[in-house]
Amino acid sequence: MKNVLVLALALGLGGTVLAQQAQTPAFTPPKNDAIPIYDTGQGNGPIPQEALKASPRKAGWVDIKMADGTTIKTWMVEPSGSGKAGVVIVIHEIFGLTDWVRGVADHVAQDGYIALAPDLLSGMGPNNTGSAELGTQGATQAIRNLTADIRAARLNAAMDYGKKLARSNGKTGTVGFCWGGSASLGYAIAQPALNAAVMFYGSPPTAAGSPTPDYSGLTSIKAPVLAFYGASDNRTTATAQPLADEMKKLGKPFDFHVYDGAAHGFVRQQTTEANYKATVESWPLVVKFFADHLK
Amino acid sequence: MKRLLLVAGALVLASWPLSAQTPPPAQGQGAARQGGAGQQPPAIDVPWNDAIPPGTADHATRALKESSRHGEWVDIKLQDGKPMNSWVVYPERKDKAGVVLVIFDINGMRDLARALGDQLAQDGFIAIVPDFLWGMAPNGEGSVALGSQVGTTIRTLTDDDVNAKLDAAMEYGKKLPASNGKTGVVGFCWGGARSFAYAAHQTNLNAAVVFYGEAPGSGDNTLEAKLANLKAPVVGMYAGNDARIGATVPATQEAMKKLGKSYEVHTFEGAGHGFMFAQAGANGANLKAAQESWPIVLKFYREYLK
Repeated sequence: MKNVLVLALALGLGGTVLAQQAQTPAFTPPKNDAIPIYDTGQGNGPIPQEALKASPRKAGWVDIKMADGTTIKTWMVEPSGSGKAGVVIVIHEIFGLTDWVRGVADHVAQDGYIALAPDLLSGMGPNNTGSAELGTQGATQAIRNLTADIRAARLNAAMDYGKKLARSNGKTGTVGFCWGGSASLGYAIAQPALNAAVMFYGSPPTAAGSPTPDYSGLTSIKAPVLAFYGASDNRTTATAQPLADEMKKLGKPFDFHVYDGAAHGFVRQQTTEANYKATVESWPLVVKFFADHLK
Repeated sequence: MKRLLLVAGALVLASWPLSAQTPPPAQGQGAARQGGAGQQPPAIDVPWNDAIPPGTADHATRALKESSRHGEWVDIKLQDGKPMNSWVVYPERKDKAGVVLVIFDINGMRDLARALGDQLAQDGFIAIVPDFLWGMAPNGEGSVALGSQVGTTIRTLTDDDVNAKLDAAMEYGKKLPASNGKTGVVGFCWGGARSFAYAAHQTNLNAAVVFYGEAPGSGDNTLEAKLANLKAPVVGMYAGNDARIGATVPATQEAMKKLGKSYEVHTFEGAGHGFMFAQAGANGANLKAAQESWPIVLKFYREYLK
């Protein structure tokens, strides 16, 4: 009966209804403390805000000063206890430093690391502001101004800051998502002292104004790189095997995983079953990777 | 009298069309609009519908904010080495995709044009929405920085300028690791005419969609010469209540037929010029035209860009 009704509706309303039905059905992920939080939008809540409020960990904004006077506004979360820990720099998506990214930092701290989530767009918003004032769409525009060099200088400032923290064990890793995934790989190229780099659905560097991968920088990579892709994100997934081949040629450790049915941004967008599953499967690998390289 | 006003308006406008939303910077344009449309019917409430491109400014902004797809601004390198800032948005699919170049209307780059790109990505294509005005604002930027000067600045772009920019965008698209190597184009109003002109210029193009724009050579009866090299099949979407563009369609059909070119014409009765980005207009006819035209666009691209 239900099917008949649906069919009748579809026939009556034409292609519009059919097209909408083709969309992935809504999925509410179960509460799962073993993985980072998700969001239903582009990163600014309301779900992440609630999670941030509920976190038992010590967290707050720190201003990281650069030699040229730039201040990088950074969200820092400390793991429980008082022992030494590795530092993980959480690199935001193309939408800038959102609440969701701060939620990921909280989870990284829960996993035992000092998490630093720098707003790499600091000073690039209106009146010298950053991501919050730009908004997610403004961030996608402003982020063009972060060249590989500027990005590396800002991440260097975060890395230096982390190393000087009393609780730091001197090791530094990066984990980045989307634009930040590419930035994580880019930083492994720029910074030989980095100990581990995780790239979620990012892509290798390209020459300016061209989409063709430029592998020339890979030779300087010292950190092992771990990458994750959603199979439905051909934009980045198409670059995975060629990148793996280049890394292998150079003898650089590179491991990658592709998740069936998962889309771009799956860790943030756990609102499809495949995206949720990809997060559940990938995050323990991140934890193990950091345990192997940041202890 | 109506006709005379239209002709006068068209002369002032030279060969570029004008969107219904553009505030008239010159007297002739205002006259043309009033002459063509008469009294404007009241705007309707456009329902949210993510199966077709957003047709109001608010819906476009919302669509971009809620999009689950990856969109990014890139600087595409032009032949002279200068950058052309472009919005590129990707579909969620596991295989390679065709690329569609989106040519904005006389209002330049705005959320409506970007959201149309996002819709194409939702429907399975990689969309590239170039800012053809990039580098033309006093501060070196493009459409947004030009603000009210978009209309006058866009008039300074020749077909050759636009074709060269589209060539660069097409090349960029073909090189994307996720591209299947096929390229389509879609344009609206000013961009509709540019879409037709690009199909006439770029013989490697696989499909062209023209929304309410005239074919090259329409103004000076050189249609056959201008369209002689065209290879891509063309689909034209026209508004029934858009006499200025509608008047060019029969001669275009005749020329295309004579040349043996594929040209499919759809005219949406009651709709006005610019219906896709003005879905609240024409008392529901614009919305209906948007709803009816979009599935045709998708079917066409799915056939020729696969």
